[in-house]
Order: sequence, then C-alpha cells, then structure tokens
Amino acid sequence: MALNRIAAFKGGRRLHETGTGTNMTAATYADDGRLDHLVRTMRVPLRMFAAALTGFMFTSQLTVTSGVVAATLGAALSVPLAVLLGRFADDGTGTAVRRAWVVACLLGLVVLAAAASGMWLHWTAAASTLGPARMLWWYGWIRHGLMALGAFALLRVLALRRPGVAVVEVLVSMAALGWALAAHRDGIIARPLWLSDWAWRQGLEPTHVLAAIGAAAVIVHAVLIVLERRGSRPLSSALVMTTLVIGAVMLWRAYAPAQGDPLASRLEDGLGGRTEALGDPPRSAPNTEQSSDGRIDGEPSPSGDDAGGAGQQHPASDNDRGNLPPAQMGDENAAVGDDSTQSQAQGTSPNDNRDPNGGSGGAPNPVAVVVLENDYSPPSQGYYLRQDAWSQWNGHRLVPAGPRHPEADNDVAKGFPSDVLQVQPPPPAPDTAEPLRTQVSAKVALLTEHHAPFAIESPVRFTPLPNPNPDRFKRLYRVSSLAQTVPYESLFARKANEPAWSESTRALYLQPHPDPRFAQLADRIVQTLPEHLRPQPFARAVAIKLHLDKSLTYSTRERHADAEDPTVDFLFGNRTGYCVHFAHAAVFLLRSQGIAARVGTGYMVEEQARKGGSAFLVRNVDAHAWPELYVRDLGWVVLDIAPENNLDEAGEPVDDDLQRLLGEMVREQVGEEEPLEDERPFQWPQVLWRLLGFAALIAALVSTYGIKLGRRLWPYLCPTAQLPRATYRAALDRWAEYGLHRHEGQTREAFAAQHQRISPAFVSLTRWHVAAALAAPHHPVHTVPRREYLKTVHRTLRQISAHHSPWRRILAALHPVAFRFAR
Amino acid sequence: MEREPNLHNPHMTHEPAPPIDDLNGAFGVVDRLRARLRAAVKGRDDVIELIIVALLADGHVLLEDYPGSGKTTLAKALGDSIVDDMPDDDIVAFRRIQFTPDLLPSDVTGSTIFDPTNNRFFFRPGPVFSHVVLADEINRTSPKVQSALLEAMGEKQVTVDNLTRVLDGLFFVIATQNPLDLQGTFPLPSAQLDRFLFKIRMEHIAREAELEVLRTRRARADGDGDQDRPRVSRTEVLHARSAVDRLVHVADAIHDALVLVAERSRTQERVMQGISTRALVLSVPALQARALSQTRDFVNAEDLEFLAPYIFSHRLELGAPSEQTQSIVQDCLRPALESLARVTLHRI
Repeated sequence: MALNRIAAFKGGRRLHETGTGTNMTAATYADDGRLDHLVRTMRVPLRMFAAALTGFMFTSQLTVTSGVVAATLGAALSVPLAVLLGRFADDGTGTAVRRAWVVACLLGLVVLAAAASGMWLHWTAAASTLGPARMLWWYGWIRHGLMALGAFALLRVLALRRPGVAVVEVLVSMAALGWALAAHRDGIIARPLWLSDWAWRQGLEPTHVLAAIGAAAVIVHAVLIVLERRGSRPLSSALVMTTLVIGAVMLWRAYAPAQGDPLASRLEDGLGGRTEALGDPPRSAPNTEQSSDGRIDGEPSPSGDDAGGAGQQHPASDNDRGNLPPAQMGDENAAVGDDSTQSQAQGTSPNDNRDPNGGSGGAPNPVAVVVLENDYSPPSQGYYLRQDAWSQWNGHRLVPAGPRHPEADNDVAKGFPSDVLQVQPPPPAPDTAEPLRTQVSAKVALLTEHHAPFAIESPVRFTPLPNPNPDRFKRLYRVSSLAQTVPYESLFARKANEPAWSESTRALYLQPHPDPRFAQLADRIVQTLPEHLRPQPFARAVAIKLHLDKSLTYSTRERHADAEDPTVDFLFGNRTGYCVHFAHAAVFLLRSQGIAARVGTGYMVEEQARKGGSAFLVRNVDAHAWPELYVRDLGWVVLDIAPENNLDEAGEPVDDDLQRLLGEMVREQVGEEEPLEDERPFQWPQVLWRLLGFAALIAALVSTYGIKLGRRLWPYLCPTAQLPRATYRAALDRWAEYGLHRHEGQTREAFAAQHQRISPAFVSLTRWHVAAALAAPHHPVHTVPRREYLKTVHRTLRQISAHHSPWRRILAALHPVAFRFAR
Repeated sequence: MEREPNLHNPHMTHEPAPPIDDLNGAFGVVDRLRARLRAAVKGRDDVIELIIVALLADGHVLLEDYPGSGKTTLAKALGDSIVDDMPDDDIVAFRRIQFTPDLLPSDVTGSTIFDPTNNRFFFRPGPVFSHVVLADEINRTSPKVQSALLEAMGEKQVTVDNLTRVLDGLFFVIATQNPLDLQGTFPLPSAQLDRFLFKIRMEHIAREAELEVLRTRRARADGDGDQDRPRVSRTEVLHARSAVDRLVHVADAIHDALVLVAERSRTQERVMQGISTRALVLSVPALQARALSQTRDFVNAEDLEFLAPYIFSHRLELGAPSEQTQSIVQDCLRPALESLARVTLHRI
C-alpha cells in the first residue's frame, strides 16, 4: 500500500515536470523530423539574432553607438542567460520559489541598471578622470546593455514557463520596429545614421532597411513560436499569425505614405521649393566619425520647421555634411545648401551644390553666439567662421580631404574635443615689417547641436568650457585664432602655395577641373590685367573674383541639382546660383591658374552685425561657403565672391535685443574657470537619499552574505549540544542553494530519502538530527563526536555540490538568501 | 491477570527464552514474527508490518478485504507463530469465527453447559478464549453478537451468566469485512470501529508476489517451511509489549503533533466527529511499536506519517458519506508533520 502510494507520488511528480516549459517543448519535438531537429538546434542562435535586432531597433533612436552596441549585445546574451536561468528554475523540486527568485533578480537587474546609470552620469569624480566620452561609453554599457540583458532575459524566462509570454516578445519586437519607423516617419532621417547613410548610398530607402531588420526580428520570433508550439497550441499559432498580419499592415502603413509624399515628388523634380538636406553622393571623404555624431554639419537648426533647415527632412539626407547652411553674401541673404546629392539618392548624381534655403523663407533662427574677447575687425568686413574645408575633387564636387591626405586641411577641427585641442596654425610670418595676423580669442556658445566647432579663421586652439546654462546652450567653447589683419591690397606681391607641401598635398590643392573651359575662362580673365600684374598670383585671383562678382547672379532657387556637373552647369550655363556654386567656380578658376585653393564652409557674419558690441549672433541663414586661396607666409585667405545681382529678397535683420541678451549670458555666466558644481547648489536631500539607498543595499547584501557564511561556519564553532542542529542546518542551506527543499508536511526522513541518490551522507545527518531532537536524553546519538558530525556534514555538502554543474555551483555560492528557503 | 509461565511444562518443545527486558529482545520478537509471517503469506509485507505493530501495541485489527486474499492464512500463521507456553489453561493459540446472521453471542463467548454425569453446569469457553482470533466477516452477524465480541476486545474479559471471565493477556483479534458485498450486513457503528486499532484496506498483491504464491503452493500446503523458523512464545510477546511501552521514547513534540492532528480533524468542515482522545491514547503504543519495528528507540515523524491513516481514518465521522477519509487524514496530518519538522530544527 505504501509502495503504491510512493509510486503514485512519483508519477505525479513526473507529470508535473513535463508540464514545465522547456521540457514540454522538448517533449513536443521528440517524435518528428528534420525541421524539428533544426528548430531545436537553431532556436537559441535564432532567438539571439532576433533579440539582438530588437535591442538594436529600440536603442538606435535613443543613444550613441556604444549604447546601441551594448543593447544589441545585451539582448543577444539574454537568450542563453534565460535558457540557463530557466533550467535553473525548472530543475529539481522547489520550482515556484526559484522561478520567483529568478524573476525578481532580473527585475532587480533592470531597475539597478537604470538607477546606477543615472547615478553614474552625476558622478563627477569619474567624469573628471575618464572624460566625457568615456563616461558616455560606460553609461551606454551600464544602462542599455544591462537593461536590455535583464529585460529580455526576463521575458524569455517567463516565456519558458508560460508559452503565452512568447507572444509578448513578438509584440516587443514589433514595438521596436514601430518605434524606429516612427522616428523616421515623413522622411525624417534619424539614427542610426550610419545605417541610413549606407542605405542611401545603396539607393535604398532607409525606412525600408529598418523595416526589413525589424520584420526579421518579428518573423524569427513568431516563426519560432509557431514551430515550437506546432500541433499543440493552435490558439497561440493563431494569435501569432494575427499578430504577423497586423504587423504587415502596420509596416505597409508605415512607409506607404512616404512614397506618395508631395515632398518627395518635389525633390525629385529638383525644385528648391523646400530646402532640405540632401543625401550625399558617395564620397571618398572619410568623415564617417561624424555620422555617429548624427548631426548634420553646419545644420542650422535641429527642428524640422526651419526652412533652411537642413537635415531633417528627407530620407535622402546624409549625415555628415548635411547641407551647408545658408549664407549671407554681401548684403544679400543667400543660402547655400551645401553638399549632397539630390533626392534621387542614387549617389551617382553628381551635383554638388544644393539648394538654398533662404529663398523659401524660413525664419532665421540663431544657432550660436560669438563673444569676441579682443577687438578685431576683419579686412573682409565679415567674420568668416570656418567649420570645415573642402579641397578634394571627387569627380563631381569638392569634399573634405580624405585619409590619403593626412596633412591637408589640418586647421579644422573634426569634432568637439573633450580637452584643449590644437590645430595646425597658419604659417609664421617671416618678416616683421607688419603683422599679418593677430591673436583673437572668442567664446562660442552653440544654441543648436553641431558636429564640429567652428572658429574665426584661422583657428589655433579650441578649449571646451563648462556650459553655464544647459537649458539654453548646447555647448560652450573658447577658440583662439590668428586672424588676418593684413589688408588685401598688401597681398599682391606675395606668392601663392606653400613650398613645404608634399607633392600629394600640392596636387590636392591644385587639382583642376577636368573641363578645359575653366582654364580658358581664367586665362581670359587674367588677360584683362595690366601686364605687370599678371605674374602676381594674388592679382590674378582678385581679377577672377572681380569678374565673378560682376558676371554671376545670386539666387537660392537655382540649385543645378539635376546637372551632371553642377559647377559646369552653373558657370557655363545661366551663371545663377548661390554661394556653394560660387565657391566651387572660383576655386576651379584659381586652381587652373596654379593657385592653391579650396572651399571653406561655415558661417559668415558681417562685422556690422555686432553693432559695435563684442557679441554677435550666428543664425542659420548665415551658413556660407567661400573660396580660399593659399598665400605664402600667411596661410589660407578668404576671397569671397560678392555677386552684384541678387534675385533673393533681403533677409530679416538681426534681432539686436536677442543678440545683446545672449551675449550677456555668455559673458556673465561663463565664469569659465569656476567649477561647475558651484553653479548648482548641492542638493542634500537627493544625495542623502541616494546614499541611504546605497547604504541600505550594501547593508542588505553584507548581512545576507554574513548570515549565509555564519550558518556555514557555525558547526565549527557551536556548542556540542547544538551540533545536530548546526550541521543539519548547514546541509539544508546547501540544498536550498540548489533550490531543493522539503515540501510542506514532508518529513525530514522522507526528504533525505528522496535525495539519497545525490547525497547518502545526508541520510545519516538527518538521522542524527532527528534523533537528537526526538530520542530519549540518554540516546547514543548524543555521544557522536564533533569530528564525526563535521566529517559527515562536509561529505554531504560535497556530494550535493558535486551533483550539480559548475555554473550551478557558482549560482549557488552567490545565492544571497538561500537560507530563507531552508526548512 | 498476569499469570506466571510454567517453565517446566513437559509440553514445551524448546527451551524457554530468557525474559525480555530490553528493546533488542523485543525486536527479536518482531523479527521472528515477521520472518514467519512473510514466509507464510506472500506480497503482504505492509499488512504483516501493521499486524505486528498492532500485536505489540495491544490493539486489534480490522481488515477490509475481499474473499480469498489470504486473511485466514495470515491469521493462522500468526497463531502458529506464537507458542503457548502455558498449555494448562484453556486458551488455545488460534480460533476462527465465521460470522453469520444467525450466530448467537454465546457462540462467541462460550456458554454454560449442564454436565449430566457430574450433575453440574460447567463453562465451555468460546472461540475468544485464544491468543489470536480471526473474526471473519464481522459485519454479517447481528449487532448483538458484534457487541459481545467487541466487549471482549475492549475489556479483555467476557461475562457469561453474570460471571466475568478474563481472557488471555495476548488476546488479539483480526476481524475482516467485505466492503463490497453489503447486502444483508450490519455495518459496524463508529463507536465499535473505535475498538479496532487499525483498519486496513488491503489491496491486490503485486504480480511477482502472486506468482510466488503459485510457485510455493505445494510447499506451503505441506507446511514444511514453517517448522524451521523460530517462533515466539506468548510470554515473549507480553514482555516485548511492556519493553516497548517502557523503552521507546515518545518526545513531547510527538504528543504535540498528535494533539494537533486531533484538533485539525475536529475543525475540518467535512468532519462531523473528529479523532477522539481515546484514539490518541491508543495511537501512542502503536507509534512506539512501529518505531521498534524500524529498529528505532524513539518515535519520529515518519511513524506518525505511516500509521496515521490506519489509526485515524475509520474513526472520523464524515458529514457526507464519502471515501475521502484518507485525504482528510492527510490534510490533518500535514501541519502536524510540518510543525514536528520545524521543532527539530529550532528546538533541541
């Protein structure tokens, strides 16, 4: 009878075990074929793949590259982690408690990662040692990596137990997809920019690529569910199928409108009705690091409503040198779309110069405030704030010099430095007769994000400063420049080019346009010079400038976007265009005359805009491109084109009050050397709470592990009378660490017998323990020597541990509150 | 009531064993009985265990069983295993009473008969005057007869013609009833069921045991095998009883657990009448005997867990008739076992 009962009990157990998640799926597979085998072997890698894609889709909109990588890795690793944890939770007997424990741990991991990353960002000591970039890197790993790991593992563990949760995984994947697509809706370019760029260059719509990635994640998840549940859960299959259908509809809805978008069609027409940042054609230019930064360079305003606005409108855009912002030339408010291809996104389309913004009339928005610390009046009557320089001919247009020219254009900063950054200064003036350049320093407060700092040419040093007002300013830095003071008239006698240049650099700066008409035109212009001036390079340059001033017409509406070569189309066509066209034309004409030249890009603000004050406002409409030529012993000199004919209406004047106000803010609040902390009152309550929380956490951990260790060591220290209890309790703790404990109402003897196979020594330990409690006082168990007890408990612990795999042993050793479950 | 054994009796077939005064000797009794019974009855080890425990606990056993399951064999083997070392009295080793509806109480207890030769009445003892009595199909006879037997079981004495006669100290009843064939029966009321220490529901024996029964049929019919195995004497059994009672330790925690079981049974909604105090009192010797049978000198939770269904389930009066007594007992038992387990860890 008793035997029958035991058999029934075991049978019940077995049934129960097969009811659990992993075993069940395994059992479901057991009987059929190759597909199931494939699913069984491939599901972990496939799930890792899908989870990684989901993690990527979620974080790509949120964070920088390190965070995305961390989240992707974390999500991928969550799958094997969940498998291990699921095995841990389902193995053995104490199922519910251990699963609850696992779930609680994972939840704790997520919460902890969120809290820790928040605190990390405010840990100034670490920030000062690691620097901002490192801090962000770690932040990404702590926050996104750990959170993804915890959250995805949590879902998976739950799904292993309750197959229905797997549907939630599908939904999460779909949410990630929708999230990513939503960020890209209406042709907005969002992160990850390297992906958008790549897609664009391949002639693909980035949203399609994102949709494909997200759909892959969803489909892998869904297909795995269907295959794993095959035949057993028609309901869940139906649910998944419904989900898939809904997902497909959503996908279609997500990108279908973009194709019929009037914006897109206008772009295809090549009309400049709206200004946008357009995607770059494939360039040899290597500025890939800018893409991770994600800002379109020179982009005047991050908000989509800005007409001049670069960058955000169309999928076609490209990250790094988005459009050159509009520029003011002379009196005219001209806009320059700088670079980039047109909407076609083919990348093959050659035109370089893109559309203007000013014409279509967006409100000019301030993008930066410059506060001069020295009085300086440029000979050109304009402050040329150079951000980048284009000197390499890529077959269509000029682009930043590639990695094959390491010594070229080293006077521009490629990104915001975390520390003082020295760039290549202009060459020292050999003759002391008259100073060619003067030291000018200025503080620049950025109101919108930029990918790289700009400076009054020619910059020498960039120094990051603490941001006094993060709500208003994105960034603050000081720039020290050696600005040109020598008037243009004094330059006629000077030679062009730099003899110290290497052959490749010289070739770079002198690379002419393949079209011979440039040289012919230049020659014709030079012929108009008086005889004695013709050998002087600078005189030739001025002649070209003056000729262009007269013959060109400014209009931001003429984009020459469809032309094979926009510069040719412009100069030998209707000669109507804007600053980028002018700059390109001038550079090619100069180069054909053997004068090293390049295009400088950035902002140009007229000197009169500062109205006698030391601060001036830089607006998005001030974005500009200009030709520069190299004068020996002086360096790069701006020789801007000022066309006499302007088809665009004048822009709005600078808001003086705003300029003054912002200038004051920069001047006053930038107590530069003052440490940042002083500006923000030390917030005791918050710090106190955090400290208390930390202390509580540490105290909890210390006490639990202390208790654990104490109970383990107590058999060695306890009085003899307590030996049976102490040793037995130590063994029980070890069982509990592996999730095995006595059931409610189970006798100690039955528990020992149940696990006799694992640990025979535990049976004698149990016998002694029970006898010590229940037998008569003179029972021989009271005379068992301590040595025997210790030996037996030692053997028991070893047997229990030896029965489990090493990773389980590690988990068991780390289990902080196993004693709680020892009964 | 205790009679001295006649150690010089010429009918003794072997030297009387030395008096038993420790648990080793008592366990020897258990061991010999177990060996003999197991040899005689195959596949009934659990029942044999319970019967030995009941014998040592001075209780009686009610077997609920179907015909042909070896009850008689078992009872007879038990009777055979006990040597009557006081052959001078009128007590025999084994009697069987087949209960029928027309049985009279005097058929059980014995009756006073007139002897014409002596011109006197003399008392002819009934079947109850034996060591082991098999009361077959006890529910087939009238309540009058049942109560006669039950009085004998409870008091170890019978009263015939206003004369009370004491039964043997060993007096051990194995009663059976067929639970299926209830037509024309008189089911025992719960007050009378209370007289039985155990109610054992027997199951069909395992296949191997059944094959073994068939294989050893002839040998057992010849009765050869049993001759070699040592028996126990009536006195040894009585001594073993007293040794168990004195020497097997019952911790206070066990008493607590027993009371807890009873309390739980009384508060159960499905139970009209819970476990009685008498049941608890009776259960203690049973627990002690069971501990001895497991070669242990103290009672532990396992003993309680093992015996509780047999001791308690027939003593519960359920609100609605059902077969759930086993599960109710288990429900009552679980907290008791749990507290017992916890006590060992937290209080030494």
